[in-house]
Amino acid sequence: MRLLYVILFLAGFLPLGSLAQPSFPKTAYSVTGYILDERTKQPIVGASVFVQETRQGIASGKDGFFVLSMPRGTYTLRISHVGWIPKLQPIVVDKLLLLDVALTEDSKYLDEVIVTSEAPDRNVRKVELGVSTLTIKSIKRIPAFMGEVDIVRSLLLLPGVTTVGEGATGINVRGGSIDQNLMLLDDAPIFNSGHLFGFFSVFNPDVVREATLHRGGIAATYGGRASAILDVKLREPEAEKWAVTGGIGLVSNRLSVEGPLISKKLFVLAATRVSFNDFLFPLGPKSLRDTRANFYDFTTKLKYLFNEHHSLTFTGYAGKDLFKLPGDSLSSVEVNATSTEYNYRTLAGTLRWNYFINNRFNLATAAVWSDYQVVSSVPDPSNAFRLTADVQHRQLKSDLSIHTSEGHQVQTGLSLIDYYVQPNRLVPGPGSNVLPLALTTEQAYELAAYVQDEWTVNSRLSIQAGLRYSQFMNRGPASVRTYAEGSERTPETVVSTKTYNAGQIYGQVGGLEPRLAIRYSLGESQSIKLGYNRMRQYIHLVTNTTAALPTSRWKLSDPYIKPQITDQVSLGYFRNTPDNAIEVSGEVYYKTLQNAIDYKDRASLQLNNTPETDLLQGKGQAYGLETMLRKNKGAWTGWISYTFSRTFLTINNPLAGERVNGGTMYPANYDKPHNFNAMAVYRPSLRFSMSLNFTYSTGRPITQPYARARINGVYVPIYVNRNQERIPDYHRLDFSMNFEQDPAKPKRFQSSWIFAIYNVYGHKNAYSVFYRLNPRADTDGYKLSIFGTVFPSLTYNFKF
Amino acid sequence: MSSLSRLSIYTLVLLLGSCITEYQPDIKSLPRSLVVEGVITDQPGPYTIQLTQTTDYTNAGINLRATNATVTIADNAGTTETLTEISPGSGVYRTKATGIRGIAGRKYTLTVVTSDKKRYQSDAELLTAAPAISKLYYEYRADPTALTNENVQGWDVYLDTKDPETTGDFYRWEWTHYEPVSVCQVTEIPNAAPVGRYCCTNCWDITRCNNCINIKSDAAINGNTLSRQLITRVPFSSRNSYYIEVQQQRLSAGGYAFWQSVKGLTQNNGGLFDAAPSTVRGNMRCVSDAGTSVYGFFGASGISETYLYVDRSNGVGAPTIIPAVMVPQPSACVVCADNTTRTPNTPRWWKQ
Repeated sequence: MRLLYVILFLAGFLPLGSLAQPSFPKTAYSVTGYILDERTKQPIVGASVFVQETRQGIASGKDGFFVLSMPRGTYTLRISHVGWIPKLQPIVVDKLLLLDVALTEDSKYLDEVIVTSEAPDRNVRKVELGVSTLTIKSIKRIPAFMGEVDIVRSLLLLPGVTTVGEGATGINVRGGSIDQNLMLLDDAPIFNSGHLFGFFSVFNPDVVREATLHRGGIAATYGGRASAILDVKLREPEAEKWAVTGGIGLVSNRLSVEGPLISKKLFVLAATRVSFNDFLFPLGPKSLRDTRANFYDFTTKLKYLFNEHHSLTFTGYAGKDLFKLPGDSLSSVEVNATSTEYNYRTLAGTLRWNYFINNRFNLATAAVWSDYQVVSSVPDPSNAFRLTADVQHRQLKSDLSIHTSEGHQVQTGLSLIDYYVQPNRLVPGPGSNVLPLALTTEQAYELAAYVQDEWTVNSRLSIQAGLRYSQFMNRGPASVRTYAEGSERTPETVVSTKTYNAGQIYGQVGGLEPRLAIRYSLGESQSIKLGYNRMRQYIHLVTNTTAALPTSRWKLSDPYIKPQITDQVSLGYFRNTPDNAIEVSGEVYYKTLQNAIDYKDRASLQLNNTPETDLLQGKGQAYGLETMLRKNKGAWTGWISYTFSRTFLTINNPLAGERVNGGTMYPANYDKPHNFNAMAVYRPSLRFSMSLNFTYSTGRPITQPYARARINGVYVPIYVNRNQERIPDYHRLDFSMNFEQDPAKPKRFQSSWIFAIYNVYGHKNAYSVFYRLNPRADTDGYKLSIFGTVFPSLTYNFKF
Repeated sequence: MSSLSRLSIYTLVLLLGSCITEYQPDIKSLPRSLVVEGVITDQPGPYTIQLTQTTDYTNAGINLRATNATVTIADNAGTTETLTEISPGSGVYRTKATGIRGIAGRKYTLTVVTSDKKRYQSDAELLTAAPAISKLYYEYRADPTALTNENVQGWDVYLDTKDPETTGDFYRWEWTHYEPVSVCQVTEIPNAAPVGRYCCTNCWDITRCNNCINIKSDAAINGNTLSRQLITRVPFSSRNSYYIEVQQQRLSAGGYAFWQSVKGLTQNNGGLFDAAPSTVRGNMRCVSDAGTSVYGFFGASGISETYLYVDRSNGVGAPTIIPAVMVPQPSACVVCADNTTRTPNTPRWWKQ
């Protein structure tokens, strides 16, 4: 295994050596530089740099950087991007040319690009498929629930993204469970993306630049989760002057400050959100008045520029949720209590050193830390306790990117993650009858190395090929149980236990993860793309509830819990009208999942020291078709998308007790075959815009009772198989209006109002279906509608 | 459903004007299966076994009784007794008052041969003695949020018991309240006070919580005191003392799993934060045909019992008024019935 790292590493760095002596014709020179916004100095990603004479073009990459190679001569460059005034720049190429281009924002430009900040024809031209970027500007146009602009919720409008229900944490991407998405906030993984059970996401919209969802043809740079990557990038701090932005909403208040601490050297961005007092619980029914529910979060970014070559960036996030529930107790800890307090927090940080070696080489090294902790406690003296669970992710990684002038863009890198998981530790209060309990901590390393090349073969064909190798190593202290052969794994069938000392490696698993994306252009503005990726996942969120709770348990792979491995093939067709005003795309995918996780009946995972006795693994299968039609220009913009997708699991083991539904294939909790989304934005002037959003999806699967028995005087439902029926279909219309200040009259203090209506026609969508037998009722069942009414909200935002 | 999930539902309900509407799902059908209910204890018998059948999960479904079956309880020491159906068609089978008696340490098996000649048998259940109830006590608590007026003021009855050192002990609690009554027959008269007739003898109304499943495992407190186990809340319906008997049953691991499943299934709302529901079949199986389903549980429980008088004189204000009954004089007395809701027999620890 070790040899393989060396090979991979060398393979990654080899081009470095060969490129040191450029071998291209002496008459060719590099034209390179950055494209920036004139006012904000923010880099413009995906701007088109077009050489009018040679009809040669390229899009600016991350940080607005571009490289072109061209023979000696005089040319005119046309630099353009939607939303900025295109610029014509004459150049004389007779030496290596460094060129920084500043574009002016086009205030009269009313065309709204909703989904993407990329060049208008990027969807046809780029290699990757299954990638969608939502800029914060477009996210803010989507009608927000209770006025809270929400990044994770916005993703639900994209094809292939679903949720088990309104208010559930996380998203399901192309048939993946919620823990199969790596959610990154400037490279730091976020273990719980929701505040207040998932109603609102942890990403503060005031500081986010864009969110990119990779769901097919995932590049080798990313790894660690089986389904998708959500890459949320924070804005760069304002470099010129100090600015304050904020807002007042129904749920939370926001405030952010940014500016230069040391001119041209050190910039800072700091933002916070604080929820209103207890969500109006004190005004609620008497039984809820003692309920407490609050959250706050703090996001910061610091950037220090040493010189043109070195920069240091720090991103920090701290978020906390607090709940207190009267007169109840934890179901997982069997004690009697009068109230229970839940407290969960995320702390995450990334320190990134970017070394711009020269025009060709850029080295980015980052130290990443993320910690998610949940504390539940009961105050009653005789039964007092604190239950603490903790997940820690510590990572060092380094990525080297190499731009060559021969149509190759090479990237290679290494990553080392150190995981620490404390599943649950129960500490009794003084004098309490509760026994202390500490579940065994889990520790492991995840090592990964990758190399990737994006090769523009010719104007028609480009290939992005990558290879990633990941290795997972469980580290002691630990005890590994052996179960009696041929019998079901239960705590009673343990035949021996082997203990390992601190630092001892007791389990290793790993393998290659090939990635491939091919684009073939069929003409000026249409292309077909093919993608394949294999992903391995070594950390799992194990919960047998339909939606995860903040207290749900994280579990590392170990000798019993094998890593989840997906293989996905996708094929797409992309076409634009010549002016890029209208885009059409269609993608099909087929995905298999090895070691999909499900649970035994009545699994109890929270305080289980032998989780392998409750977990089952099997096969998963997902396939689908995603189609999208989008209009990017004009007063009316928007898109419609339709997705057909299915997700099935098969848990079939030799022992009858370790099968689900008798070993036959059954739909996953998040299998929702038909999804339709439509989003329209009308923007007749710069001061006003209006958005409409309609969504429809098939109801999620549920387990319906097939018979009833009368036991102890009550009717007890009898269930046969899991997930055989469905709740009614879901549909909803949202609306929002946005009033802004006249940009023609610039003022120091700017403000805007957003009025939004969620669920305009008040459809009573089923959140769940349940059964209550009542001889006087006409029906046997009931549906609970959570957002069963119209939800208006008003938000005020300001900036000065 | 965990409390967190309940909180989330509250949050949703409160924040979001949620609502519940009627909904008719497609009806599913399964063939009728036998359902067995019954327990043998280390207290004197008779013991009863109830046999019913499953039906569709609809309002219209009827759980038929399983009648004319041969029901036998046997222990591992060679004692057997065949139960008799208390009345034809009742589906309730009873041992003789002088018949089999549960003894701690023995294992018990139930055998049922139904009228269609199918033979069902339970696992052998070990009867384990229950630890004594170390303390039964009550605390006055005003609860302005209570749904019924009677419960705004009340006395919470708690139980403490010393859990044995062994792990894997499981408990279930049941209570019985006896309320002395003098009027044994009441006739409602429209627009006037009801008219009643006195009981000929002493008489008590019996109150139980038939569908309460109050169970606990010792997992969190093994070997320590299981404290402040809530048994029930005594309503402020009178200033008189309230007499309550509390029974502590020791369950087997299988029995606990079964009752926990029954409890969970009756509370599961199919919501996002509920686990996929599944049915515990219990400890019965069909030995003549492995493909035939059978549900229910035959238990063998050790029992400890005690009683409590709850003094309700410290209630604030007037108790919930029970309408007065007119008894014309003279009038013939009425015999106090002896059934599950009324008894002429003096309760075990009754003091007067």
